[in-house]
Amino acid sequence: MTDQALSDLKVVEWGTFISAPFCTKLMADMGAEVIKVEPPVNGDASRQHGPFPQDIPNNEKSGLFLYLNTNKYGVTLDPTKPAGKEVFLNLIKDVDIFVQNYPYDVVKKAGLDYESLKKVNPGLIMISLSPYGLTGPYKDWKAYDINICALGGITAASGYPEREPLVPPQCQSHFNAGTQAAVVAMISVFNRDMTGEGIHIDLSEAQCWATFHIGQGAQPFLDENRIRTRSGYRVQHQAFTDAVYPCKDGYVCIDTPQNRQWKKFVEVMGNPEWAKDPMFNERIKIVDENPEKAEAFLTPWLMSHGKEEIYHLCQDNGVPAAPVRNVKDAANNEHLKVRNYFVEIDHPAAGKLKYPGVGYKFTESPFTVRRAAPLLGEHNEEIFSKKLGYSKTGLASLKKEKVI
Amino acid sequence: MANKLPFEGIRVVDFGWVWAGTVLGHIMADHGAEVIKIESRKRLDGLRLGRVFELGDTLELNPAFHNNNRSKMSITLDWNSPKGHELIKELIKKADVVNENFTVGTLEKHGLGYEDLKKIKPDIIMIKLAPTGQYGPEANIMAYAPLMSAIAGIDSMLGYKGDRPLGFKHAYGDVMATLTGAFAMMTALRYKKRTGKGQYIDLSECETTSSLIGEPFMDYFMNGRVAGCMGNFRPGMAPHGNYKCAGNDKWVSIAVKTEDEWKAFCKAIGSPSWTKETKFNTLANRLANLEELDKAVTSWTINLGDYEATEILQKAGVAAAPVLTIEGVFFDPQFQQRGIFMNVTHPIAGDLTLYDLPWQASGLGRKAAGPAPTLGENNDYVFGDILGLSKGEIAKFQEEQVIY
Repeated sequence: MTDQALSDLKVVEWGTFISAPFCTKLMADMGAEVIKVEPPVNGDASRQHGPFPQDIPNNEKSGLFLYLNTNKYGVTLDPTKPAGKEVFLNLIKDVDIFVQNYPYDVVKKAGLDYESLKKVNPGLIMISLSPYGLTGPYKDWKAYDINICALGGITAASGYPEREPLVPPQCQSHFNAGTQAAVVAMISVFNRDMTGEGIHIDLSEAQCWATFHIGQGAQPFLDENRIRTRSGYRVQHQAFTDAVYPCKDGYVCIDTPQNRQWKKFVEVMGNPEWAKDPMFNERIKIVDENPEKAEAFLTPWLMSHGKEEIYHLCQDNGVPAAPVRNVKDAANNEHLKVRNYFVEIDHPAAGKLKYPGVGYKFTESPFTVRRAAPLLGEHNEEIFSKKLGYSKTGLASLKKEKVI
Repeated sequence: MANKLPFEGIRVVDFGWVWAGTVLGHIMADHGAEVIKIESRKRLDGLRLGRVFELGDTLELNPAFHNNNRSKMSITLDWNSPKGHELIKELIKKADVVNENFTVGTLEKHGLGYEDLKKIKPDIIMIKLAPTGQYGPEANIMAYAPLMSAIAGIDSMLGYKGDRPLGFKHAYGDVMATLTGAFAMMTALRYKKRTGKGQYIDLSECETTSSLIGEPFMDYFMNGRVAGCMGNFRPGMAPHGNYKCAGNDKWVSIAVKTEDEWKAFCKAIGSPSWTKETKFNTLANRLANLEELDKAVTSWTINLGDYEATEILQKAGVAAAPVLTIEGVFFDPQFQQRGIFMNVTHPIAGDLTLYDLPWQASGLGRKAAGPAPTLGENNDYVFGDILGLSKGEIAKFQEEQVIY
């Protein structure tokens, strides 16, 4: 077996849907041994989410589940039942990291809160993901992705001024929080090396937006009352042009903050006469004053060129421009092929499929696919019998009680 | 005696600039690493000048710069000059990590590529962030965050349902790349701690963003389906959206998934007659009459404040939250109680409000919060104490504009 960066770390995930599973996926992809604990019968909620091949629902073929749980072991266990709790405590005894995103009330009621787990594993690093945090007036509030995005401040600037604000696509609050959870899990590992002690991390998904993504805006708000609101496909307070425009076969994004970039862009368009309009001497004012006029000048050129053509013409001349690619464009992109970004994984139920890989290449301890996402309870015997020493009859009775 | 901080003893030579290249360094520095920002008056970090490169006045005022470079040290060194080149190499010999996000090939051109550095420091970890990575047909592009989310595929899904893409209006690609970069850097450090080996990490900012939209990629690979803009629509949820409230541009996000949540929602808003109509009585019917449903929901929210509507719904167990701008985030009671911002004082910029790290835990080693360093603030320490230059030598290099 190849030695990977995190090969010596043992992780247990009692998680559902995206945030906790994405956190442990990042660690599993770098070699950590991740045991995923799923509720018996139905398993992780993402198993019912899809997408499914031919749109036929199947617990073992949900694309979201398969993507998020590659490289993990999977067991079924209900730790909220007394017999399940006992198994769970055995499981957690010698692991490094425990990641969970069920409501902390449920965790507490089951006696699996940090204070209790610390007694069986003093060095445990426990990461609790929740929508708003484990403290504060909203700690018990309910949330889906759209609510977390709204409170965290990422929604308010998306959309047209005259229409409703837009939540970002594809549950980004959970992916964002899962990424940040993986970062703080690593910091906690180094922290434990120094202190010898475990830790409980309280990570609020809304706070994950409000800090790294939005928090930069606090000082400009306090200084100048500068508040970013909806501006459609344009970006406020930026020099023209910083926007997404239609072109011949789709959309392009063009962003030219520096004067030399704008001049080059004008050259690429063939030095049209309109570019001499005095409005282009103060490009920072255009978005607030009359963007329509400036954009009307651009339109004929944009509409006579394709998105990849504009991308290459601009980039070859030092102009920051890019095509708005959809998943099909990306999936068939030559650059990503050369970099082997997508990986093929053979799953016992879903068969051979391509999956997105990871965005980084390590020379010594690279990302590898060691196993496909687990079938529901696939590793019950391996983990419970071989690892924890439960007998076959013991497991059979746990199964009968729907504990596993 | 106080415990050691998680990254105490780790030295990072930080060539990172602007956004994606800088935040991972501040996370390391916040937790105890000695992160030395390599600057030069001959090539300043654009963020010292502000986003509009031509309008910069002083080099110490931009809040974004302070957010991204807090807790670091700064030296001024023209590493393009022969003498500067020697000095940077001496510093790298005494470092654990080199971090950079220049245009691809910049450091290689100056004899500071990984192969060069490995010769002088065999166990160095070098992490390079670039929009599309270090190799491949598109590896040389120039891109800011808006371009990254366009290339990555996520922008193609951000817009009103069935409408044109608008693009992500925050630097999403930058922030997610730098957070993922922090995770990658920490895993490489973990590997080095265990094996003594350094390595080279090639991080593509677009690919890290593509990895956040696994679901539509899986749908494409399974079914050939190409996701477009979904707006606030989500299959399986209704109502689901941001609804207009009383007041100037106030909105509340509401999400209803299960039948129980629908019943609780109806009761909470006082069971108006429309909630009893057949066209809204099942999820399928609500989805079929979504436009009407949204109008009906708005007829309730429009008379209430955003927090008022939120509280009524949350009391009934329905997921809701106000849509906040940076102003709203700043004054929100939950964020205020959890303390998501911190105040620091800078000798020139004065009092600054920066975002605090979102992970909350007692026992996690943190350095006392500070602003970014002034330009060249730590020249004496780095050139004198680390590299052993005399005061006279430092003065001479300053005169020759090597330390500059």
